[in-house]
Amino acid sequence: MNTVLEINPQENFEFLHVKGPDAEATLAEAYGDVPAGWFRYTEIPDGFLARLGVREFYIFGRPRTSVSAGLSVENVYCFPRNDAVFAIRGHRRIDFLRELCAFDFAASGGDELILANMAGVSCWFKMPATDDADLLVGSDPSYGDYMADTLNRTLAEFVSATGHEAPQSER
Amino acid sequence: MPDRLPPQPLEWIDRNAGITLKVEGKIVNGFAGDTITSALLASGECLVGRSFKYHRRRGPLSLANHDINALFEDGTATNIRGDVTPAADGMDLRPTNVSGTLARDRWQILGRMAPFLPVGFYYKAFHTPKALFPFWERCIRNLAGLGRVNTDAPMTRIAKRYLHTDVLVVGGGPAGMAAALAAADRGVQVTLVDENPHLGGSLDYQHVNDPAAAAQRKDLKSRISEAPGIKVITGGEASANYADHWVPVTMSDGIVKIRSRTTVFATGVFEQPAVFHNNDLPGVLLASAAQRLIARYAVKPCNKAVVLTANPEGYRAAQDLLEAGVEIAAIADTGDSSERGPLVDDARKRGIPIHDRCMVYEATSTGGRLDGVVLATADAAGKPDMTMPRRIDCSGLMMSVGWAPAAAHLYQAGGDMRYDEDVGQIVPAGLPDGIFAAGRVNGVFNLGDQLADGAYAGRQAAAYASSATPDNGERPPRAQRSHSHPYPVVAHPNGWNFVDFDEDLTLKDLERAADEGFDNIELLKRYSTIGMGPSQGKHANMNGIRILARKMGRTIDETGSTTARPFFHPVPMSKLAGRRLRPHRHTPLQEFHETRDAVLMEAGIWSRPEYYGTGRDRKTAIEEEVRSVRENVGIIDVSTLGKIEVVGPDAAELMDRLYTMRMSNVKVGMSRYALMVDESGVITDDGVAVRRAEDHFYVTTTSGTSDSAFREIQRRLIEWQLNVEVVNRTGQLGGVNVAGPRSRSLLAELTEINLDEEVFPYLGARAGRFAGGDALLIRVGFVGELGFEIHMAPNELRTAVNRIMTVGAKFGLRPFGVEAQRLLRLEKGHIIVGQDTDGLTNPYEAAMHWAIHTKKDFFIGKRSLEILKAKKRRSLVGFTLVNQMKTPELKECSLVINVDEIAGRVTSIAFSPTLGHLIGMAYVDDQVLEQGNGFCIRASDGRLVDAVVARLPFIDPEGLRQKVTGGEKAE
Repeated sequence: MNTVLEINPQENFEFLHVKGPDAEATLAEAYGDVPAGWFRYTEIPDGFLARLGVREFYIFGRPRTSVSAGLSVENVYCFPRNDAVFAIRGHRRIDFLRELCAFDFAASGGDELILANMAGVSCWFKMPATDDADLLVGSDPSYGDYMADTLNRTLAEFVSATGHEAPQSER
Repeated sequence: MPDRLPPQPLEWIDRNAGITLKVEGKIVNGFAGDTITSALLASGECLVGRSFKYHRRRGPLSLANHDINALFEDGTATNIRGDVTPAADGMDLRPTNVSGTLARDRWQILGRMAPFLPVGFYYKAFHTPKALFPFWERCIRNLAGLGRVNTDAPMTRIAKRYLHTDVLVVGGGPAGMAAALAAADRGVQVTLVDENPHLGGSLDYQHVNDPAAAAQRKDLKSRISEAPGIKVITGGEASANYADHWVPVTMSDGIVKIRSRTTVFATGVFEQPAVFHNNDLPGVLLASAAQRLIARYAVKPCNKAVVLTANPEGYRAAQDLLEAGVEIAAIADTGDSSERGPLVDDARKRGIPIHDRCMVYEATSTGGRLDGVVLATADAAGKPDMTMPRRIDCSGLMMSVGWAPAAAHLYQAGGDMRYDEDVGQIVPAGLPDGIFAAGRVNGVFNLGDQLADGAYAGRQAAAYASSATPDNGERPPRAQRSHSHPYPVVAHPNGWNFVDFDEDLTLKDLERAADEGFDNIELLKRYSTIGMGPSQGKHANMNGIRILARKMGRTIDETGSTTARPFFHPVPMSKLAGRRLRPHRHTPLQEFHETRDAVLMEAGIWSRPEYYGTGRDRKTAIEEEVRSVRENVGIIDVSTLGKIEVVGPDAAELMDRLYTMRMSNVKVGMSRYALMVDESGVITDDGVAVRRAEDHFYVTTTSGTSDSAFREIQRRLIEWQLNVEVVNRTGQLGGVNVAGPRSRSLLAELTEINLDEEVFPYLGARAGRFAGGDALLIRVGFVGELGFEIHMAPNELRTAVNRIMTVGAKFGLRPFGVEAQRLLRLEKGHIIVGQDTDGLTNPYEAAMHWAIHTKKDFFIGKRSLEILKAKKRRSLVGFTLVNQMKTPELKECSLVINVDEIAGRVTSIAFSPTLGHLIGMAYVDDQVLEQGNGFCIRASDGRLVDAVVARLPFIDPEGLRQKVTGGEKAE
């Protein structure tokens, strides 16, 4: 991959935090493949299903994919999330993340959902399975303005310092 | 550039890139690659700074980042280190700590006052008369110090980035390079860091004229440049060693925090000065400094030199000086030259006079610059025998009397260090797992041995990083013969024999401090300030330890060494600040606030409207907002409240255990005040718990404690193993409170939920559609009015609030901010946790007996509260002032005074627009309250103000306003 490094906010998505003793079984019924390992995800149509714990999951999908369909059952609790989400793509994005985050992304696999602190904010990172796929970063929505500003300013500084051309990303 | 040498084989300067800078307004020419000091010296200058205390003339000492007498400032930055900071075209510098000019410093007169300024004088003087102390303090601060901080300097954002590696090697000298290569050969990722702009270390300045080293240099550097597994970082100081192999590397453009699996420290050694009379004259410098000047910058250190040596390195330095065209007047060997190896023969062949078993007794000067040294033979006790002194004219004295390990990182890692008599140096005796030392810091001096030691450490590190079997190969030996003089210190009746060049500390100062009882190295350090200057004792501590050891008749190990704390070198604050990241949270209504001219304030990590300006002054705006709520209706953003979902079969059980009030009997669709205390009974949080279903509670917390409350709930959940899920939705949902007598009528136009008092009573909670979205409505009364909190998803809340504002116009709706809310709740007598409570407040003191349900079997803090109930000694009371006219300034935290003793403090105070006078709440000792209803508060100007206890709440004690059913129609 040798594309221009860019950050784009993601706005149209449906995102659920699913917890409960029967969450795994219910999700398996709805989606088939549920990741076995913690902080791993599997792709679902237009989104992903990630495991955060024994009975805790994230489901992220494009709107109107009804990720919550079939989940309104006993012992499964769904809470919509309205995270600030950014897609990072392009050359040297792992180097860029090192500007703000202590996590060793280079050592992570393409099916990992990483929870780490970036620029002082708790974030999740959906590591892409392929170089040309987006790396998604999400945080609590109340940090959205701060994250957008921090990512864009740091991107500009990173590009300036490393000489890699990149357009100013959208807010 | 009169002292610029012809091109040197390994020089760093680019002779094709000339530069011009100014120092004290004078033009200085140099080349790219020069440092400020090397450019000055090449131009024929010998003076680069003035000393800290006595403003003595100082030249270069180390050229290794320790020359703190060569500090400069450029109007923006201060304490720019001349010996290592690259000279740049256009620089305009002036020396730090100079009053006048370098050549004429008016404070050099302080040298004549030295007898009156002994060590620790400032601890002993200036105590009386007390009134003059500020004057003396100002004088001392003006005279001493290291430059002035320009507080108007532009704010910079500097990178602070992260890097991960398997093996980190600190030090790019021969041992470090060998370690990196050996580790990389084992297939691990290696990062090699060196503070200099080029790899090589001592190999490139101490072995320039060593033919055998040339091949090794070429081999090492070419292999490193070709090794795919080695990342090289030059120009970066490994500033510290923290736990778990966390090393911040400070570079010109910021700090790189490197996390490795294992670390090899090949940090080398610091050359140590000899201590003798006038050892600080310009022209007296470390031999390694002379070699750096020649090899890196092609600068001739002097024309005629004496080399004082206690090791073979001094002979190599003499060889390098000769190659650079410097006349060697003599080599003064502190020991027996026959033991120094083959370089001695070379020196003799070149006709250099060598004087064995002698020491420099004193240095002399003309015009402030070295013009000669007086040598004396050492007697059996190691003291100078002055029966036959020998004076030698020279313009340079190169000191090569010993080394101290650059072991700060090893100390910080928890390494065990011991003095090795054979090596004459402190060396590692035991290092923590995953920490390795190599090269001269490990006491290995021979170049071949350094390379072998580095390779050994590299292999060990690679094995550790990859969890492989450690290398069982043989480790090269440490030096068998000392490279350091055991006591390179010569007393002199006239003093000026400096031990610490940073702080102008002399031998006499340290001896006197020891005599005064500061006979422990840590005490000596603090009393004398040895090692506390910018070089952090790199060229002073070892001699200081030796002096104290000898003075007290102890060994070096018995004397010990001072703690080596981070940072290894001073790190500019701007680099620590990095990008100045300051996370802050916005509610979903941030844009709403901004478009309505809100004056925003920081409320913890949140940005909240203090009040809405709209052209009015603060007081007027707040009072109008209060009236609006009391008379019509107001809306406030409460999105910052913590919002926690508690769901599952054991939800009620969990809630009962967490909160002081019983929650299991709250009916579905109702809410209850939720007070949380810790195990000691101290109030930690409050909010409202809504029972949404038998197995589902929705709990709010105060804005500042949402994360800590959630963490505590999670911790307890794990501890108690209840079948409950908890989710922190603080930022995922927004909320507003619509309060005022017309709130119900306003909101009724926007929802299908029946808001009538009979079906939606006070403390009720209803979920349903509101203004086009899904919402949870809660009947609350924090501000003492009929009110509804509306909790929704952020996007839906934004839409809903716009509709509320549109519909609300006819009801006189206006937004109100945090200040109006504080005032409204004060009128109602409601506390704010964190403002009306502190880290010791229990509910009984806060007059919240009603919130403690002691009949419950258990809740956190119950046992403590049972004890505290009988021990209450203060109470939170409402108060007003006896005389409301011309009241001096009272503030939150103003003290309650009873017979000159503190008897409480004010927690809240404000002018009530509703009541037309000041009202407040204060903690007052029960003993005072038992005496009557009055007490005194000390105002800001010191006067005492009479206050009288007032019944809480100040308004609407029956709570009728929260249940108002009439008078709420639209106009």
